[in-house]
Amino acid sequence: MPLLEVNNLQTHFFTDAGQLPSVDGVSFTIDSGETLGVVGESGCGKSVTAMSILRLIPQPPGRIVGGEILFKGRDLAHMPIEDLRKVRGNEISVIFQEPMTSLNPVYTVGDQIMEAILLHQEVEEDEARELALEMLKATGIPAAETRIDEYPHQMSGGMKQRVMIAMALCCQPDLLIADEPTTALDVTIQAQILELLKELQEQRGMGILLITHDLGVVAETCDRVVVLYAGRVAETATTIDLFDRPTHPYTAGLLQSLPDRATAGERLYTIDGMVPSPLNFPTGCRFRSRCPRATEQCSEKPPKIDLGNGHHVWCHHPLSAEESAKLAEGGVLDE
Amino acid sequence: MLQYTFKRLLLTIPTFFAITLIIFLVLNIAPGRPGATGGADQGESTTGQEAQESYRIFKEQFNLDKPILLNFRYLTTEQDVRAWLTTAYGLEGEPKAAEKIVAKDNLDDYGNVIVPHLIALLDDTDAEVARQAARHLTMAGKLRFAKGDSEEVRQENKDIQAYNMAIAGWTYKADADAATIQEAKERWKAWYGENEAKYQLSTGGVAYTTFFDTRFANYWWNLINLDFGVSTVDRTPVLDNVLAKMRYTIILSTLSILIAYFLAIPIGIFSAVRQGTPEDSVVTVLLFIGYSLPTFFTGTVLLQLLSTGDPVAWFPTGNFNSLDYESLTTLEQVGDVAWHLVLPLATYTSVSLAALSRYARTGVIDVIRSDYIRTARAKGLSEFVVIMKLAVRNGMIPVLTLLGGLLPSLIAGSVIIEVIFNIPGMGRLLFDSINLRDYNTVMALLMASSGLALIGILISDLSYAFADPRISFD
Amino acid sequence: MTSATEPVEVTTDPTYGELVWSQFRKRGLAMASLFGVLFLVAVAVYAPLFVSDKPFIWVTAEGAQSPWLGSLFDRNFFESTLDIFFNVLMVTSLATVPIVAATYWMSRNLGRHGRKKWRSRGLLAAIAIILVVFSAVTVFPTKNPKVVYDRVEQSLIDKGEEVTAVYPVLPYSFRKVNVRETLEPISLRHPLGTDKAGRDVAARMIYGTRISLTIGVFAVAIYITVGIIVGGIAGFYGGRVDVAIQRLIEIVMCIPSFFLILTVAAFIPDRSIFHIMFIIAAVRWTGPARLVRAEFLRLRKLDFVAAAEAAGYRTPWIIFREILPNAIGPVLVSATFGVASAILLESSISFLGLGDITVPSWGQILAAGRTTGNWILILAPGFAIFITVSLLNLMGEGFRDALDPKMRK
Repeated sequence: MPLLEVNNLQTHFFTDAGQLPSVDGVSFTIDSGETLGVVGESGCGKSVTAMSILRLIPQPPGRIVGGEILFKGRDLAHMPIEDLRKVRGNEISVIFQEPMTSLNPVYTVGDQIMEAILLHQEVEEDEARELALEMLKATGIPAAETRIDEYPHQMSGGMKQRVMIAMALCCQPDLLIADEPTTALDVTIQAQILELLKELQEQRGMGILLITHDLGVVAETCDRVVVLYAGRVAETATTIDLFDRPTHPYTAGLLQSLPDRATAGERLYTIDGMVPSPLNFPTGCRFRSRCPRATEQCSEKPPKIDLGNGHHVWCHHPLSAEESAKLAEGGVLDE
Repeated sequence: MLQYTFKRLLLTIPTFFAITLIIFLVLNIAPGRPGATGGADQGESTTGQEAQESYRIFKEQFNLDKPILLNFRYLTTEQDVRAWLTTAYGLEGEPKAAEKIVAKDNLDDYGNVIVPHLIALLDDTDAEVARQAARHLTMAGKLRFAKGDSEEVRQENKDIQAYNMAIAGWTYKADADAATIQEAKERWKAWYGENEAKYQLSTGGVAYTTFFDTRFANYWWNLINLDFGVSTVDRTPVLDNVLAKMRYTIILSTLSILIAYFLAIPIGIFSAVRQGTPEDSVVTVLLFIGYSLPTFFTGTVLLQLLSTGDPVAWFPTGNFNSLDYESLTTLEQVGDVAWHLVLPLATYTSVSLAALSRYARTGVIDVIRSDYIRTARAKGLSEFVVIMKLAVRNGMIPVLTLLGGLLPSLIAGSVIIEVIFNIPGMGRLLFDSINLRDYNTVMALLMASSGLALIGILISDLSYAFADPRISFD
Repeated sequence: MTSATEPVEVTTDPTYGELVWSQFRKRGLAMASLFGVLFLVAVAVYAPLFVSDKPFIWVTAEGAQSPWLGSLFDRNFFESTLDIFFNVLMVTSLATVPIVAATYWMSRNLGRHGRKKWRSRGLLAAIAIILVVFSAVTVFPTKNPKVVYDRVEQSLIDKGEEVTAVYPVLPYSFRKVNVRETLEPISLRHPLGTDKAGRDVAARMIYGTRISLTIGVFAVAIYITVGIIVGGIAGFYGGRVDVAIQRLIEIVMCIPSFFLILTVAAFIPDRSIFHIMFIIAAVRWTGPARLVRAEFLRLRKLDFVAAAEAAGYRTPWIIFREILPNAIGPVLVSATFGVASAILLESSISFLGLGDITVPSWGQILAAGRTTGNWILILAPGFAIFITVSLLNLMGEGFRDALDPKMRK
């Protein structure tokens, strides 16, 4: 049994403008000790997927309207909120994108870490403080003894993200959801934070759900990848398979737009346009409004193609093996 | 923190002086200012003579006979003085009434400075100029009384009094014979020979006069000495009266603030948590109405409805306590005051309650939308703890800043409340003093309310710094 | 793609004002309050159409005339310049409203610059007409003899002569005292009864609209102008100038303004509503000054000001053409709230009997209600103030939301 199994998750937002199917039938699994990457452009439903797992989407207007989220066999999507609170911060923790605003400015970081420990573990305040300090040290914060009594505004962005990690891991969770944990940070700090996460994962054997828009980060840290587009899965595979044999035109587009693809003097490849608003997602394949290979046929629901080893693609016109190979070697597709 | 408090307190002092300067200038420059001739006499509620007298006391208290900011009166020449004399008494040409008044005021106000010129003018070719010069010498030659209450000062003032009395009679009528006139003139000249030193300025005296013998310097000096003078209505010290009345206003406004905060925070949280629901809309509409209803309207309606006996008389029509207050037991006294304060407090609180609740609601909504609330939920905290612990602590910081603005606005509102409900506080006193043209009291009230406003702002700054760790104390 | 072949679509090229307006229009409550405010303005402007003791038409054996028309610019009848001004607005609206409407309508299909140009020309023409007529009637005032028409009518009828007189709905002057009809209850003759001096309350209420709106608008106009200048100087020059102005603003904000206002108002001999306006403005300018200063500090850091400086434009030019239009939105929002608060302030001053006692101000009517205990005199002005203030506050909130880019799609 996988650690987490998400089946046909549907999270919709109910606004004045109408019902927005931000996440519309997403499925994936994570095993213990495994890192699953979820990639896609802004607005494709990555964060909503991640937040849906612990039901942290703002409600109203958001609501999970279908599917199940099985964590160790229990359905998080339908369990009473009191039970879910015992899971939150204890068995599943979250690290958010914005360390700047995700910490409460009026409490010390120590207080905020201890809050989670005191909530989920039967310990005294002194012990909780010890644990918090230990955790801060584990995240590599220098002079943790003094830092623990500081307020968030006294810290740098990277430091705050380490505090967030300490707060997330202090109760030894089995699953860590990391929602773009490095986007708001400097490039050098990004690498450090990812390295730290990997290290802590190896020590504790937890599963990680890593949300990112950066295929580079995926290549470095993930075991398997889910490519999301407009609230649906476009392609899913092991990281090696995805880079070796990218098959969905959207994956191809993302790969081609990686900066290291562009040779000197050449313009960087971009996918035309933006992810459409959930208000007017196209029927059938949702990528067809931007897909260079789109045909009439694409207005029908795309078929699921099984390429073996858990590699699945939902597309009417997937890339041929030759095209994939060309792309994997660093080439560019002809249009 | 202590250092910050101290620093903040120190900063208050120059601010207070700047405020007093502005109030001083406004009252001195505005049309119909107390210093303007005639302007003060136009009160409808006092007869001309009473107003004249109260104006004289005020003029003395605030040295209105002196120039406002800088004193250059020692530069006055004999020609100037002669021109004033001829203008004031219409001796040459046909001066306008306003010009006459200005010239007369100058002759009165310049005092000792023009004594040497008046002495010289005794020999003027125009007999009438010489006669008026002698007449004005009796006023200009007068010495000012020393201030203070000690035995020496009293003795000194007795001497000055005798001196002033002595020279007061040295005038002569226009139809007096030549000998009398000559005798009077000689007497003046002899007097001047003896006392010349008193009416000549040394170099140090010039500098002192320029900067310190002014309305403003004297005014500040009085202020530092907490000398607000006596009421022009009943001759009691203004400060005692103001302090006594201040008590009622402070009790009323403090109670009102407490009630407003006590109610506004739960209302704000309730309506923020229920944002977008019908309950929230009802609360929002009610608050909006409370915010737009003028206090004088609410107060009048409440009083008319619940106190006049038409339809009901549940509450007293005014005052702070009953006439037999002194004979009641302590418990009854508290009850009596509470009974008297229900309507004023309800009126007083309605506006600030609405404003505060709206702020509290916005504050909590901002917090609910923030990322750290999501972090708190992700930790597994229950919704109740999230709201109570985070939204209240974080969301109330902006509400605290309102405290600073609240106290001054409540003191401002005290005029209307106290007039409607006939409460003997500061506002009522201001209203009465304005109508009685009791300038000293008005001035002291303006000072007192500035002081209270500054204290309010100070309290709110300190509590803000205390509640928000992002504000540094350095 | 296809725009070359199609006629130019207006909505694709909106001016900033039109963008804000389109947002404002979506808010039902805000629109309703805007119409409410326009209604109040109309009541103020067209007051003599409903309330006047001069007959529209007066036909006797001597001939026909319109005393009503003659009274509009008559110093003996409308003593206050304020009323004359409103009457000018009423009379000229025959020309100004069509001109503004026509330029607006005719320019609707033009491009953005064309629209702006024509619409501002239309507005300018209207303002010019108003100013010309206003100066004409102030420079050449008429003073007709005072005639009490209803009494003349009665005496003529008594004499058996034929008189035809058509009066407005409320044939009273707002200040005509009638000792035989004091504190009358509500009746058909007096829809809101009469006050202690027998003056028709409805007539006073209607003319009171003029007072409230004028004080609100003019006091705010004065202090907004001062605030823009002071705040603009502080925000544009920064440095020591800014520090000095900041300190001044802080100090003025600490002044117990209401006490000071009452004191100054009480000491002014023969105070008029213009004095009250200036007093209100003198203590309120700090709000817009702070707002404009903050906007200037924010905007001058943006690239377009640097670009203007680099292009060699002079400082005043940059302030007026580049920065000010960008800072004006928040100022106008605060102005709307300011009008409401100035109206409240004036009512408070009048309520305490320290306002202009010659005009029918709502606060003064309420004060009369308090002393006489007459419910109509309390409720009518109370609700009038409440409704006016509410409408303006709602409108201000609508403007604020409409200006907020976050609310725009």
